[in-house]
Amino acid sequence: MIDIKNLCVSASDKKILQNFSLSIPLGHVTAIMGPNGSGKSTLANALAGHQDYQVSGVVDFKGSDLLALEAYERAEKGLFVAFQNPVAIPGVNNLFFMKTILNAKRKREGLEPLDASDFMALVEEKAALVGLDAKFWERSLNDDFSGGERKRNDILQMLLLEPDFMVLDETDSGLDIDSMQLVANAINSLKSEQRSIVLITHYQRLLRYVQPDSIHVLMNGAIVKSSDKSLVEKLESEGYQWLQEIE
Amino acid sequence: MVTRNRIDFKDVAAVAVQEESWRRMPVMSFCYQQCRAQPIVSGKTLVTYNGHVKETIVGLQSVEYVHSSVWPGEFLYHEISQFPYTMTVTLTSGTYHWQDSSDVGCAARYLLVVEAGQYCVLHETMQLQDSARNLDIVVKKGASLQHYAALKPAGQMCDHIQVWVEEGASYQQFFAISGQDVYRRSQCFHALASDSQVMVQGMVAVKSQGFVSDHTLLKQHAANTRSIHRVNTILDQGAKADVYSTVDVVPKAPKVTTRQNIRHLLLSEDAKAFSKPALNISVDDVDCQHGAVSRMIDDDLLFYMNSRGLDRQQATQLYLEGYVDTCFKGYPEGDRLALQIKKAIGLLDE
Repeated sequence: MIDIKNLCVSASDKKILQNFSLSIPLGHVTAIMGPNGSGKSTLANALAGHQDYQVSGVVDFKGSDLLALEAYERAEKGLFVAFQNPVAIPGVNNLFFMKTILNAKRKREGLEPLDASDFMALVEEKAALVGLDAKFWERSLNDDFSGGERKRNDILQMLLLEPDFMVLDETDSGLDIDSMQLVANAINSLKSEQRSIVLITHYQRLLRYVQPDSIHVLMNGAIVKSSDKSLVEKLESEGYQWLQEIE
Repeated sequence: MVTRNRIDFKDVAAVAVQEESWRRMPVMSFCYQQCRAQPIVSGKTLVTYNGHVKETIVGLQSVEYVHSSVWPGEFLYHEISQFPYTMTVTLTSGTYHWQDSSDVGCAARYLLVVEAGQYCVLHETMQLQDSARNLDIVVKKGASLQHYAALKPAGQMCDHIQVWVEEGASYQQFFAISGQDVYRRSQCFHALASDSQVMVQGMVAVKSQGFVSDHTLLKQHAANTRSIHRVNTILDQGAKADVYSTVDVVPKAPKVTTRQNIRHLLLSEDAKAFSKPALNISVDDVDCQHGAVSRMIDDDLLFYMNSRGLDRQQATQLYLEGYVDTCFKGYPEGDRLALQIKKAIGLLDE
């Protein structure tokens, strides 16, 4: 699905990721963990094509050079990043935004745009999965949303777009226990042999609900440890200090 | 015919637009010609052309048919105020549609009076070219006027608006200004007595080296008066806007409320915006807020929309639609003004 080789990312001349390499096969759920400042969110933003980062290396995504694509082209290819801090866009109606991005995708796929009633039926069905309802439709995109509501709104967009490759950047932070369960169920509903998911997280709790196939620990901009899900409990009990000592 | 200070307005404006003097409160002087025009009575519209009444409506009273041809030079209000009104209209409760247009070089002086206790809605469409205009409005005791102003000036335009709002009366102006030439507007609103309120809210969209200079003075003469002034601009392709907003609260006028906000959105590197929000408060115990911001569209907002599959143009259009809709949201006839702005900035076909 995606093959990252020697990815180097810097921002304002500060090197953040250095020779980062990772292959994620189709159908895999991969967790990336690591201490604060290790470069996890930078990885997500760099893959999404954020303009503030300078990148080098090779990222092969479904046969295309991902780094050569504009941000919107990456999304068109099937990449979706659920951001750690989704921005608020005052004035842009939340429901209208979702309808626009969904119909833009349908147009690319040669499908007719959904009419209002079909779209509402779809959005209400998906929104129920993440615990959002009609009171969020008339509001501006993420505007006056709590942190948890923004995260769930991002996941709702993901459910509508049904992307092939999903990167969820600390989606679990800011979610209460019930919301965590809902979001995990929503993520699980998208798991398939044709899709891959990357979960960036600090904590074990999301990984209890969404079982990862592999876990990688990112420190100082590079992967220092890769393992199966058994690594999560060791990290939860012992932290990252022992990995720094090994490093 | 009386002629004074006849100046080629285009030359004056072309030079003046480059000068700092244009950043002062506009004033007006002019030449004056008087003649009579034959009114045409029809339907529910008021049509004025070259400063005289062309059509009027059933329900209007006190229409005076005087045609004034005014040649604008400097915008000296104290001089224009010496001349008679070209149209005087008294409004009673109802909805009015007013279309005001002109040939090059004409101007006029209008007086609208909303009678005490009346509730009026006025839809104004102004398409004046290379002209000057003075509009005076009196909203009498306990009356209300909702004034929707769709302004499409062309060439070099000067506009002077003065509104007096009496006790318990309300004046609300929602405006849309679009164009690509030069438009100078000077407005003065007087909240004369207790419980009078003034709201002026709207959007300016200018492109192609156009220039809008908008000067607003809200004068609160009495206690318990309220004012709101909100201006949003969208500037593209070398356009420029100056927005001055001054709230003047006189002594012995406590417990007044005022809100003042100026927001400029620049769509190109060569667009320019200038803001001067000012509060002149001469009394304690007031509730006043003001602010101004000039900015381009935040790259992070565009990136977020890009990351959902919208290209830069689609994302920008979506953002601008929201920006315009927000300005007019919640007002019954705001859609029409929003439509004008959306056409002006290319979101919709003209």
